[in-house]
Amino acid sequence: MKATSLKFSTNASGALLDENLRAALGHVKTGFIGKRLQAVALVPEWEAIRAEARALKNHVLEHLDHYLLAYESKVIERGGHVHWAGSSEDLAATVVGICRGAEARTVTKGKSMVGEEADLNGALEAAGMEPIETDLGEYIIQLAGEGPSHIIAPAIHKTREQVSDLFHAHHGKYGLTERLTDRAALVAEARSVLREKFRRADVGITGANFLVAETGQHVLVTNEGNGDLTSNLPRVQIVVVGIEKVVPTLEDASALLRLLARSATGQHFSNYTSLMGGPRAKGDLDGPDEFHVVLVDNHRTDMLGGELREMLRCIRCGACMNHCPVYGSIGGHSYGWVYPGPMGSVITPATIGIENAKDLPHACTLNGRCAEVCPMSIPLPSLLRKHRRTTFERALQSPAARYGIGAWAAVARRPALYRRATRIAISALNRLGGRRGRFSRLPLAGAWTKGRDLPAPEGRSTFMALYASGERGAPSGPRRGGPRPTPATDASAAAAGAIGS
Amino acid sequence: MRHDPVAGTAARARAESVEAQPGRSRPAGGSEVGAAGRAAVLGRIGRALGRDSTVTDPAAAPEAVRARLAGPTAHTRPFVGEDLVGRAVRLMEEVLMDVVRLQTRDGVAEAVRDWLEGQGAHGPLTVAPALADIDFPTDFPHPVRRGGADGVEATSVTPCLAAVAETGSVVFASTGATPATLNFLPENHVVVLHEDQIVRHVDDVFPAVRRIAAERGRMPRAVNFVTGPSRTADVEQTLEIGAHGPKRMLVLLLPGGPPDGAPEALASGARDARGSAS
Repeated sequence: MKATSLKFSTNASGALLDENLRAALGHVKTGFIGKRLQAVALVPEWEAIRAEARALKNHVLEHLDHYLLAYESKVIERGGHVHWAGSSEDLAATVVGICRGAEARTVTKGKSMVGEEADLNGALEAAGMEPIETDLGEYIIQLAGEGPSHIIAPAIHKTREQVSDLFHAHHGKYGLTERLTDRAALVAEARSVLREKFRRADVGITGANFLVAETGQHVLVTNEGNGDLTSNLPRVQIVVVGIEKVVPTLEDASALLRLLARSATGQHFSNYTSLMGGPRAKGDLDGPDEFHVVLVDNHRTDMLGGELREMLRCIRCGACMNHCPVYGSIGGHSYGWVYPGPMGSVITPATIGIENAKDLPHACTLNGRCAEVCPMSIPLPSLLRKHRRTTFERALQSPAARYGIGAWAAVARRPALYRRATRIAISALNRLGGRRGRFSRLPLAGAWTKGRDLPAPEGRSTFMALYASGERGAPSGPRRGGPRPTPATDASAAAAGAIGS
Repeated sequence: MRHDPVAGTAARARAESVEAQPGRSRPAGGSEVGAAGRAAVLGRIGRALGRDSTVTDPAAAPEAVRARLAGPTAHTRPFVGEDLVGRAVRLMEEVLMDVVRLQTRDGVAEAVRDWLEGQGAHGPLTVAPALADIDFPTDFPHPVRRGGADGVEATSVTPCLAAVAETGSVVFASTGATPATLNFLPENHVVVLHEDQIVRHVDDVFPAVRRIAAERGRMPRAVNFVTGPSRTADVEQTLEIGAHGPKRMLVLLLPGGPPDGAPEALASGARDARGSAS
C-alpha cells in the first residue's frame, strides 16, 4: 500500500471538512466504546486476565524463534508448507508464486492487515489474477479503490448512501438495476454476489489472529464466516501472518481470545473462531489440497530488537483507535498507511521509516485513553514519545517547530528566567484580554485559535508568584473567558496543526 | 488513499529510504523468500534477542519453552457458575440461536421439520454422515441427502463436539463424518447437542480435541467455534444477520450424552472436563 503519511497534516485538514466522514465516525462513539465497556464489566477477572496476557506475550517474544520453529515443524508434519518473507515485497512475491503454481484465476481473500502491508491485491492483479475481498467492509473499499480506515471495520468511513452508490455503480454486471437503500438489502446483495466468488475461487488467502506452536494450527476470527468459506472451499489455502502472532498452546490462544472479542466488538466471543491447519487429510470430505503459511517479518524484528518491542504484543483489536479523540476526529485514512490511530502511529514509522511518517507520533494529545483500554497493556503514549524524540534528534520536524521547542527548552531549563518570562506574559495577556476575557487569534498559535478561543489569564500574576507572596487558600473567582473547549476540538487542532509544524 | 496501480512503487520508495538509513536491518535489494527468507528472518530474530548464533532447529528449544509446550498453562478464566446448561442456553439465545429441547434423538426429524416450517424455510437438507442413526421419514417435506455440503442445500443437520457455557458457542471438529463446510455454506444450520457435551470454559474443549488427535494420529483439520448465525456490522456499525454463513441456527438440546458408538461420542473427553473448577 502506497503510504501518504508524509501528507498527514493535509490529509487531516481535509478529513475535518468531510461531512460524510463526520457522519460515519459518529458510529465509532455510539458503537464500539459502549459495547466494549459493557462486555468488560461482565468480567470481574479482567485485570488478572490482562496481566497474564501481557506476561504470556512477553515470554513468547523473548523466545520468538523457538516458538516459530515449533509451529513450523508441526505444520510440516501435517503436510503444510511454511514460507518466510523478510519484507512486504517478499510476501507479495511468495503469494503470487504460490497462486501462479496453482494456475489461479480467482483468489478470494479474508481481511488481512498483513496483506494490506504488501498490497497483495495490487500484486495479484499485476499477475493477471482476480483478487476478491470477502469481508463486507473490505469488499466495499475494494469497490471504492481505497485502503482500510480501521483495522477491524475497514469501511467505517463510508455512509450507507455511499455503499449504496458503490453497489449501484459496480453491480450492474451482476444484474443489479435498482438502488438499494436499506442495510439488510445491501448485505443480501453482497452475500449473493460473493457466494459465486467463493464457489469459483482457486485460492483462498486469509490472515491469522494467532499461531499455535503446540499443534501447528492457526486461529482465525471473523463474524461474517467469510474467513472460513475462504479457507475451506478453494483448492489452495494461504495464510499470511506476522511473526509476532505465535503463542505456545491452545490455552494461551484462548487467554488472548478472551481479551480480543471483548475489546474489539464487545462480544463474549466472535461469531466464528476457528482453529485450522494443514491440507485435507485422507477420508476428509472437504478442505484444500494444498496448505501454505507465509510468516512475515517486514520490520517486526526491528521492533523486537529496539525500544518498541512492546508494540509486538498487539492483538489488533482496534480499541486504541476507537478511544482516540484524534482518530475520532480525522478517521483512519489521514494516517496515510495500513494502520491508523495510536497503534498505527507507533507501527507506521517503525515500518515505512520515521522520515516518511514524521507527523504521526505528534498527532496525539497524550491523554492516555489508548493505553488504558489496550488489552495487552501496551504503553502507547510512551512509545509515541520515543518516536517524538527520534524526530527531534534526527531533525525531521519543520525548522519553526524545532526552534520553538529549542527556545522553550532554553527558558524552561532556567527557573528564574522562566518565572520572570511567564509573569510578564501572564500580565500582558491579562491586560490585552481586557474585558472580553479571551483571545480568538494569537500570533504563533494560529492553528490552535482557529478551532477555539484562548481564555485570558484571570489575574496578573502567576501561581508561583501568588504562592510566594502568601496568597493561599483564597477562593477563586468565577471563571472568565469563553466556554471550555471540548476534547474533540482539542484533538482536531492537535491533528490539523500537527503541533505547529 | 488509493491502491497503488503500479505495484512496487511504494516498495521501491521504501527500499531507498531504508538504504539511506543506517539503523535499519533490511539489506537493500536482496530478496528474502524461501530458504534465504527463513535464514534472514531467524537471523534477525536471533540478533534482536541478543543470541550468540541463529537458532534454526526446533529441537534447540530451552527448557522454559519445552515446558510451556508440554503442559498447558491454567490461565485465569471468567466465573461461569454452576448451571452450565442454563448459562449456555441463555448465551446462545442472546446471540440469536434458537434452542429447542428434545427428549430423544428420535424426535430430531420432526423438530427440524417444524422449525423450518416456522421459519418459512424450504429447500434440500444435507445431514452429516455422523448422524447415521437419525432417520428422516420418506414423506419429509424437503429432499434429504447425507454427505458433505454440495452448495445446493438450504439446510444442514450436524452433530457437534461440544458447547461452551462461558461463551454460548457450539464447537465442531472436522472429520470425514463431520465435514466443516456444513457449518458455513447452508442458510440454515441445525445442531444436535447433548447436555453432557456442554463444558465450562473454552479451554475445556481442548482436552477433547487432543484426545481426537491422539486417537486418530492427527488433529482435526478444522475446529470451529460458532457463536450464533453469521453477522456483520460493516455498514454503519449496525448489526445485520446473515452476512456469508448461515442466516438461522437451531440447537436441538438433548439430555445425557451422545449414544456410544456415535462419532461425536469421541468428545467424551469434554465430559471429563465438565466438572473442572472455574
